Amino acid sequence: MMSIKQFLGMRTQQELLTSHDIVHPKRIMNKNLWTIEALREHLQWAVDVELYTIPFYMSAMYSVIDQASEARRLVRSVVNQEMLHMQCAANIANAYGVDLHITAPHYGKEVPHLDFTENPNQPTKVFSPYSTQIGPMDVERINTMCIIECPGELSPATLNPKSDEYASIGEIYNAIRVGAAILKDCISANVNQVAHFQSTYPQVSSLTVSKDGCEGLTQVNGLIDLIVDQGEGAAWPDEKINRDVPIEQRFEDYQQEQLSPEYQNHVDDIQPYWDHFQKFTYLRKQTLPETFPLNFGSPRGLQNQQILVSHFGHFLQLMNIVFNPIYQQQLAKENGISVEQVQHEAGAEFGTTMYKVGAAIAACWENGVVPVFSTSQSQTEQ
Amino acid sequence: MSQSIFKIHPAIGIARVGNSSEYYLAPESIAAMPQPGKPCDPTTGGLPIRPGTENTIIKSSEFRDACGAFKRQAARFRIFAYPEEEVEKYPAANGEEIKIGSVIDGKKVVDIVWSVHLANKKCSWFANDDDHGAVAYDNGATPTLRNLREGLDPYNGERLKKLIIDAGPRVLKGCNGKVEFSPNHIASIEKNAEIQQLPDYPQSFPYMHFEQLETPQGRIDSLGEMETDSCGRLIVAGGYGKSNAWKLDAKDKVQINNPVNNDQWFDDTSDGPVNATVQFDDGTTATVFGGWVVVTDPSYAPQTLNVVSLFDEAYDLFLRELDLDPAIFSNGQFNPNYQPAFDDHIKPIFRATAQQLWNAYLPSFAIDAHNSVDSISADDNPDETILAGLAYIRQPNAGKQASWRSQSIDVGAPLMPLALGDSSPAGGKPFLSPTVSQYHALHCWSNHQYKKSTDNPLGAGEYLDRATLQNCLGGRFSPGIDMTWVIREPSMYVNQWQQGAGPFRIHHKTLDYAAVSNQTLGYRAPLLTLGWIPRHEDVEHLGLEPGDATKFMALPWHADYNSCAIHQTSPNTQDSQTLYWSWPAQRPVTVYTAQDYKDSQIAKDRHGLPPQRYSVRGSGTVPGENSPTDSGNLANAGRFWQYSEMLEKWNDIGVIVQASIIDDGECYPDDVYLEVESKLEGKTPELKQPTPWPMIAGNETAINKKR
Repeated sequence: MMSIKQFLGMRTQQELLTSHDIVHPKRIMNKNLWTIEALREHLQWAVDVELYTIPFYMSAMYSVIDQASEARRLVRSVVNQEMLHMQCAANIANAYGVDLHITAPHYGKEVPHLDFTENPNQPTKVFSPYSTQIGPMDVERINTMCIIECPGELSPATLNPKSDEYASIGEIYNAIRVGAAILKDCISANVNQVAHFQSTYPQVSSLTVSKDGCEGLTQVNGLIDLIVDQGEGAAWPDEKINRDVPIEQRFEDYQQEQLSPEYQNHVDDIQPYWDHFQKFTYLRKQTLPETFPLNFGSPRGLQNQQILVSHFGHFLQLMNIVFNPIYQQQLAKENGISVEQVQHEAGAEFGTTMYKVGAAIAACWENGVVPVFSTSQSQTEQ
Repeated sequence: MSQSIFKIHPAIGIARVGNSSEYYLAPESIAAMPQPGKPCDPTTGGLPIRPGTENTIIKSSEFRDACGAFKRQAARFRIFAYPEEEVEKYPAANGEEIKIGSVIDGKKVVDIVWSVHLANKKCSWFANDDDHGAVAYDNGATPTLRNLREGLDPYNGERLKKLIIDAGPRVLKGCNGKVEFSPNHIASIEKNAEIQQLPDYPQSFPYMHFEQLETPQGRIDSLGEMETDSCGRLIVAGGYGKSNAWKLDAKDKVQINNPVNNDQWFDDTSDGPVNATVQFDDGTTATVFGGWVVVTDPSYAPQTLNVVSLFDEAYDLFLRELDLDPAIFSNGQFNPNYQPAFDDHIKPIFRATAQQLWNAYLPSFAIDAHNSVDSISADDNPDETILAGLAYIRQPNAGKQASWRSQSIDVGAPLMPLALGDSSPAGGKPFLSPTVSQYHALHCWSNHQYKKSTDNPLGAGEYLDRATLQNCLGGRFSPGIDMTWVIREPSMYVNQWQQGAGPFRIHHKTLDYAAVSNQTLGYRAPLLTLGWIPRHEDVEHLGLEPGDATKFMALPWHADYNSCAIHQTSPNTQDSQTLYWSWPAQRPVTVYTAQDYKDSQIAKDRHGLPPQRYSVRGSGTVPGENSPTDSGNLANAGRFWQYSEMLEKWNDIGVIVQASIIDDGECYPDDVYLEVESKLEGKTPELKQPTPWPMIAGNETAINKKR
């Protein structure tokens, strides 16, 4: 049997857990500049951003004491969709031949590949104070969630033409949409496509890219629609923006139309019609839920942090295997087994490890410490 | 010399209906846990015992008789002697079984006189009120009466006489005796350790009162029989799974259109007291703290442990309300230093989690996760396990004593157990949660405050009490299968259990059998009354009559068994279409058949398992095909479209057992649990293969291909 632990030789847990410098993207405004390399780079960024949200949101969610609280349930519904979004982004990436690398997000600094200060809706001013440090469900975290999910604008004219960075998740996906269309002939169908969550969204025709060319592009666009629609909702069209009111008021007036029916989660979402931005701006107006008290320096808590880092490192390894067919091939070769066996064994560990990560986050809060997801951060905490 | 006291074990015995005249003995080990005294046996507990043996478990071919009929499960009762204590503790642990010929306190046991009285009061009782459960009996209230056509006064003697099935009492002594709970045998009682016949006892069966009966599997004319074995133990086998309905006129076609309340119907489940007198060679006798027998639905998955069992419910009640163990709980709170034993209090919950896959359909990642739960040992650091922080355990409904933080939680996945709770649109529990005591034990474990194994083991008799109830369904009392929410009612039990009776013993109402003989000939008033009414101060302290434990259950039971496969939650504030399991351990939804498992032509998944099939399958179970209004809703899959079909097919359902006891000549691994002995063949439903979580209800969701 292959041991995922033996994967250390290829991408060690330590390497995956170590914080890396954030890549500042080169925003592509001109269609003529799209190359397959640029598109692949964008798709890697998309996966990075999706992954970034998951530990951040999960940590806030598990800090809430009451299992049944509205806050916990709303954020859980978002976390589940972020997992879906990461899967969708990875599926698109694999369709375009990206050699995906999934490493630990580094919290406390910038959200990777995005500069929210360039968002004309100015979320960093409205949703303040904010913090990208992992933390409990508090004002800073909720504001950060609002910033991350804040809609951009449709009109490129309102974007800063001099900026090199994308100002919202929606904008980065709009760029990918353009590049993907130009490079539709580069789509390879059925490359390492993952299709969890289909039962939750039975009306979504496909969660994978199973066609080449134009048909494949339709699927790619469908996946982008899902990500953007569930996340920040449709970008604000000009006619819906009252520029005569202060920017803060625009958010107060924000009335997103219902999510498209196919993207609504009627399995277990208590607000299936709301996108992430709506959920978070709603939570921002509510009384903060009771969260676990911190107990700095608790020896057991420090041990809980180390356990979480270990589980998360293992999970990063598994995600690399599950989402990267190149790793699968290398592992198969090194272990003298088939790629199917690699997929089988990684798949067998994936769900359990994912649950262990969630449990370890909960245990951190129960024992009064902040969850940590990277080695350097863990060392800092200690 | 100290005197011994005597008790019947199990305190509550569970017999189960079958349509065969033969029976096997009820399991005396806990489902999914190691068999006592057999640590190296790969076959886990919960399996029935071959009659005539001490503890030889049956093989798969022994669930049916030579004619293919489904055997009944008989309850075996024993008497244990305990040294008399001023104040009894639990566990007492020092009991010793006595049989005819045993010597105790210097005296030889020369005979044991057993008394049992079985009755079925469902028909005369109130409708099961899912909306309120026990609360429906608060403040002197009662739910609506069943069978109002037979009179509005629940206490009316004529009404009770017609609607109660009362076989009357029977007595046996000696070895290898047998007497039936039917008019073939005269009722009898014990008097001065002898059998006194009661020829005038007003036995009552439906055919005695109703001329026109529908009898799908024959007339109900017996509630079973009692026997003594070769050493004087008692064996009680119950009814045959029959249901009878009386017609209002010759044209009346009696309907079954409700899962739990159907007027004009009887079934032949029953319950009643079990008593004994021990006779010694010096001419003296000793009374025995009595037990109770409950005859209920068959168990089709005897080795699947319920996450919340009847034992867990009873233990929680006794611990928190009846001073079971002040070292654990006293003065309204748990002892902060209490350390639950991993093997005793924690492991069963983990084992139960892992067993659910054999009767419910789970996606692969859930099976992996459940296996990860099952793999947790006492040596593991809880913080490193998949249950660290109890992140996935649903906190118990607050209730009146609970100290846990949340109220009723209607959060489904990923919280466990992912089964439905006590149904109630009026404010019940949408999902099952561990009992408060279970959750507390888990919480202690999670905080590293536990011991690996118990240093306070149960005695053999106490183990029988526990195993019997732990193999039964707790939670999801809507109304349940084996017993319902009455298990949570303190007034049902002998409250002063420390005075010799021990815990979990039902309080018997004293019946005046002499009054029967004193009646004049002609009209015979029924001895049994409306009986025990929970939360009615005037009667609840009097104890239970025969029939009082099962009268809260569905009528006929077949209808509820058919219905309770998968449902939406209730309450369902989100109007969610998601379906969850009712009672997968007692009412399997989907199964892996042994036939499919050994068929090399059928592809297996990464767990080595074939696709599942519905436990209830075949013609009549195919949504979308049964009537113009049957829309192909997945909520209707795996059950008969017509409730009435279950009346004649319940005995065709297969049994899920560990492969180690399947004696079909094939070789199987020990750790799979497969369905055998199903006779539900015929048309293969063109249903969607049981698809992984989540299951979503709605039109055509059950159908693979649109027609």
